[in-house]
Parts: sequence; C-alpha cells; structure tokens
Amino acid sequence: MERQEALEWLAQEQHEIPEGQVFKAGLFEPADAPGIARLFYAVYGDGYPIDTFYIPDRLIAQHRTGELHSAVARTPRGDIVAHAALFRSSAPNPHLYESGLGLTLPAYRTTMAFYRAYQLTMQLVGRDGVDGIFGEAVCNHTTTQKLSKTSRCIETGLEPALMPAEAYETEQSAQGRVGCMLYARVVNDDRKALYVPEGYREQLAFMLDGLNLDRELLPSHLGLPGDDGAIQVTRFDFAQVARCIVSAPGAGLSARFRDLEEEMRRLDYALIQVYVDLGQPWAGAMVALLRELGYRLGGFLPIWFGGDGLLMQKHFVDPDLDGLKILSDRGRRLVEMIREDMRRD
Amino acid sequence: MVTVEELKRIMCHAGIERSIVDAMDPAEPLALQGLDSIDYPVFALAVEERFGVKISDRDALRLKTLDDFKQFVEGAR
Repeated sequence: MERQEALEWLAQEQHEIPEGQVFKAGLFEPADAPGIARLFYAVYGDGYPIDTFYIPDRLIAQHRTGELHSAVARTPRGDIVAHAALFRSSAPNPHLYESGLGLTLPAYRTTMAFYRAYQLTMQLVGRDGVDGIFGEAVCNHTTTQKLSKTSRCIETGLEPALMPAEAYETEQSAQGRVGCMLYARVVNDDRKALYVPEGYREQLAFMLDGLNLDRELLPSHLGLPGDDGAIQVTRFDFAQVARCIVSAPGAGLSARFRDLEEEMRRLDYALIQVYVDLGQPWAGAMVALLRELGYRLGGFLPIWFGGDGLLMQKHFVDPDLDGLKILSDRGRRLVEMIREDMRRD
Repeated sequence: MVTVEELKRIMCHAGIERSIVDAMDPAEPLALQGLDSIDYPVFALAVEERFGVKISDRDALRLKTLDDFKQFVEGAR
C-alpha cells in the first residue's frame, strides 16, 4: 500500500471513535497499526509528512526492524486514542532514539491517555536496543519540560528559535519562532574518550554532570587535514533548519559551510546546526573552524555518534533567548552558558 | 475546602500558560480552554501531589472542568 491508497482507505472508512471510552496503555502490537494510522489521519488529516504513519504494513515493518518503538492507549474495542514513541531520527547511532511522536485524539486530550503511553515508552530505555534517548521540549511554555523531567532525562542543550510558530498554532502560545530544550538520558554505555575542544571544558563538565557517563576527557589538539572534507546536510524545509554532520574532516570545510550558509540564507532558513563527533581527536579543530564562521554552542549529545556529539549552531534570525520559558535551574544555567558563548569572540 | 483559585495556582506552577489559566472558566471543559494532552496529565499529577489523592485513568475521564477537580478532591479527602 502506498500513501495515496492509504489516504483513500482512511477517507472512505469514516471510522468513528466514541468519546469517554476506558483505555489501557500497551506496547505496540501489529493489530494496533490500522488504529495508529486512523489516529494520525484524525489529527493531521492528509497532511502528516511521513508516509509510514498512514500505512499499517509499514508501521509493522518499522517495529520489526527497530526503527520505531510505539506505545498506545487502546480502548476495549481496539481504537487507538493516543500514541507515543521512541524512534530513530537525526542521530547516526542506531541505539540512540528520539522520544516523541506524541499524538492524542482530540476527544481524549484531557485524559491520561497520552501520558500512560509516554510512560510505557520510557520503560523501553535500556532494552530492545535502546541504549539512550533524547528529546526536544518546547520553551514557549514549561509543561513539556516538566514531562521530560518525569522520564529522568536531563537538560544537555538548547536550540533557540528551532521551530516556526505555525507548528504550535493550536496551542495559541507561540509567537515568532519557538526554542527547544534538549534532554537526554543514557542507560547502556561504556567508557569512551571525549576530546574536549578548547574553551569548552567548563561547559562540557556542566552538561556531563548528572548523565552518569564514564568519560576519559582528552585535549583535542589534532589539526584538520588539508583535504576538502565532507558534510552530510539534511534540510527541514518546514522548520527552515539545516542539520549537518561532519562525515570527513578537512580544512576545506570552511568554504563548504560558507556556500551552504549562502544558500540557506537565500532560502530564508532560520539556522544551521552542526553535530561534531567528540570521539574524534580532530573535534577541537572542527569546533574552532566553526567558531571562526560564527557558529556557537548548542549543547552536548551523549552517544550521538556512538561517541558523544557537540551541537554547534548559527542563527540567521533572532534567537530570542530572553523569550524562553525555562523550568529548571539547570536549564536556566544552560541558557546563560549559550548566551555567554554567543557573546564570546 | 479546595478553591478554584488554588487549583489555578497549581496549574500555573505546573507550567501552564498564565494567560490561559487567568481566563479559565471553572465550569467549562478544560479541553475547550487551551489545555492539551501534556498540560492535562501534568496538572493532574500536580493535583495528586498537592492534595495526596489518587486520580485513576477512569476518574480522569470524568474530570473535565476545574469544578470537577474541585469536587473530586473534596470528595476524596
């Protein structure tokens, strides 16, 4: 089944889900797949950008391969009224999952349905190939940050002005762009080398604190090879964000990033994010190159590559740090750290 | 005695937007006044903690308004 066929099926069947049914949270079972597709269709109509969530067979396949681990709130007649998931997203490490894809049928939004499904996904951390998780909690209010706290994740980074306000229009609380706090939690891990870029020792120590990771902190003195180098760029047109991974280090990356920046500015993008592998001895040189180009600290991403990652970012819009609503002292300290780094030459 | 104002304070403390809370009519469904699927459980958990009550999923299906929460907490204490 392809997207169009799935959308025709969903439109034709006009499946009604009665309000007020009792529900029970459970991990994904193949029989849930049509109900998840109906839920996505009920919430997003035909506008959800990822085909998989409309196509039951693909949902089943993605659970089989470990791309996706869903939990649902299921009624006795098999309707799915809420969904939460751990899924592989931007991280190259297949054992680091993003927590998200939270969705609730409108009639069940003021129930515990979503929360129960979300809680179940947290039980998967540390098993079924899920070594760790990360999440992005919006900072136009603090309830999502509070939810992240209930999952024992801690703040490790900040992504100011990450999302356009339109993404949250139903909440009526977002103006301009919306920043996100990065949260992470790692359960299965072993000792790793972490090459500390010059000028970031204190910040990394702060962000590592509380993650319970065994790291050998090493100075990062190795220069970049004189090659062109290579980056992988993923564009998110809706969010106006480009995300890059340095796949091969090289002094030629300055020119590559300048070209990319010019193109992104022309397309009215809001920011570029770059993930640097701190498990590589050239990490410091790469961060220095990025700083010269105006990129500044975003955060620490444990086991992002297998080794840890450092997020660097450059904004083409006002990052609006003063407009962020932050729940915790640790989060506020992170904001100040990012602000200081933006000011630092 | 639990007051609506106290419940509103808990709501603000839970992180729900103050403008939403200030404008809230206690007799109207929370769902029609800007609460979403994350706000609601965060609020319900905060109520449990503040008043030492247990809100089951079945209870929550009936707790649609601030007045419902007020009556539930008073009945459960």
